[in-house]
Amino acid sequence: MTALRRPPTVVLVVAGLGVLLFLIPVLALLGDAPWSTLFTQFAAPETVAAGRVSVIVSLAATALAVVLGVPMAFALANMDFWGKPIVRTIITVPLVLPPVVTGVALTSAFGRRTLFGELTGIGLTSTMAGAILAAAVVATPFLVLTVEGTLRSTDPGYEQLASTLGAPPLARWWHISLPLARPGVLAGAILAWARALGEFGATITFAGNTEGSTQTLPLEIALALENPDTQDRAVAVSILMLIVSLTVLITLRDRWIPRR
Amino acid sequence: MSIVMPATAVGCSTGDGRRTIDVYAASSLADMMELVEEGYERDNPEVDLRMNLAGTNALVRQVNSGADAAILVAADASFLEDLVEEPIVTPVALATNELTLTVPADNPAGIAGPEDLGREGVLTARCATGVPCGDATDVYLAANGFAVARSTEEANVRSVLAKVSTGEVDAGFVYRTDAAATDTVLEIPLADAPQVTVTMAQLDSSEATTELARYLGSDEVADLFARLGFGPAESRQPGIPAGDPPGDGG
Repeated sequence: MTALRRPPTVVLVVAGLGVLLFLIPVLALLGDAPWSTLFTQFAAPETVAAGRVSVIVSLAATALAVVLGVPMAFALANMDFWGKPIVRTIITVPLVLPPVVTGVALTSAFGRRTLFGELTGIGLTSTMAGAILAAAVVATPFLVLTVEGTLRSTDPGYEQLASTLGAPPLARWWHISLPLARPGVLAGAILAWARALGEFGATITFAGNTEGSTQTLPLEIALALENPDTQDRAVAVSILMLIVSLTVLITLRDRWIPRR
Repeated sequence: MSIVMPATAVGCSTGDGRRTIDVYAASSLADMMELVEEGYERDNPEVDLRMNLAGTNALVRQVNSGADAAILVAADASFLEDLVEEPIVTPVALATNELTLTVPADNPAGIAGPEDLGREGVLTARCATGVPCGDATDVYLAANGFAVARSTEEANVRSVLAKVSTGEVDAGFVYRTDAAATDTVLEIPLADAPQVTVTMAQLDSSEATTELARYLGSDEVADLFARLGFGPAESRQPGIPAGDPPGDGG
């Protein structure tokens, strides 16, 4: 980085203000923490149940995002086909749409009163599968965009070489293309997981708020906020989520995401 | 970084010169408040009522953390005790409401009464504990010893009603007025259902707010309440200001 690239002071001041916008709420949350009972709150049966649901739902949603997202990213990055801009727009829509709208749309598609619901008998309302689907839909775009970005900057030379040596397409993809995309897949998976862990609006709208099956930690926080007697738990669980998210982001970031 | 400022500061005039009054009202009063807004703004064109509808507990929380509400209409009187600042006049009971059970119009799970909610596979929507309709549901279930097999807990009564009317749940606990508001749900009346008392607290002493409070306590509004299926407030006597809020909480 050369001295010429150093941003002007006024830009740095605004940047500093921007950092404060993120820092102040976190510090204020820590200031509100019920420190003396924090661990009792973590051990509350509701928190344990919601924590279990959150772990399962976020990991399953991430797995779904990887399985479906990586092929989509390859198609978008390495192919030209009719309707590609439309496909990309459709995939990225959940990034900009309010999650509650995604939830409404999922209900229209997979709720009880849909063809899907009639066929399955129940639909996905208030089932853990519904919570996983909601989290996967909002999380997958992060993975697709990240992987696509990585693929655009990989060197096609290796794949050409493999092709010249007679590797069939699937073997070439599995042994050459996919390993080359690894950093992007890992980074995208972390982002997708983080988004799935924090998912609230689509989940509560589509999958509901049922303890033990769809009530994730964010839903538990919202529920605990409704009751003056459980306000402390709401703050405690918020801090728990903060700690988990920071730990994962910091440790995995240094390990897996190459520094530019 | 961009900071979005609220379009109008609370208590100030709107762009067209009308005076804004912020009214916070329970979700169960959504239809009622629409009628109130229409009626009041028609008679007082210089006033713009700005409605904030949510669970009463959420409204109380907002007021306690500094939101500038002029009037708070609670689904039940008991929740006004949680206000940090005392209302400037004694809260006035406006009407009563009652918990009831609803099912989707085609009653897919064949629910005949609250005893069916414990059947395996039945999914019930209810308000969360802490929300007036949720506390009333807790009271009702405990008092009658009914179990609920599986439930989804919602932040306000209108979310419960929406889940029932779209058929995403098999049954839901709402107020009688909510059940009456739509023909997409069937009501299954409950014996000994808990009652709540819709109660108004005036939070600022301005003339415009006092005027609105007087209107809310008027016979005209009492008629509107009755038309939507609310019960009369016991303490409300024609011409005589209501006294202490009834303690009958949910």
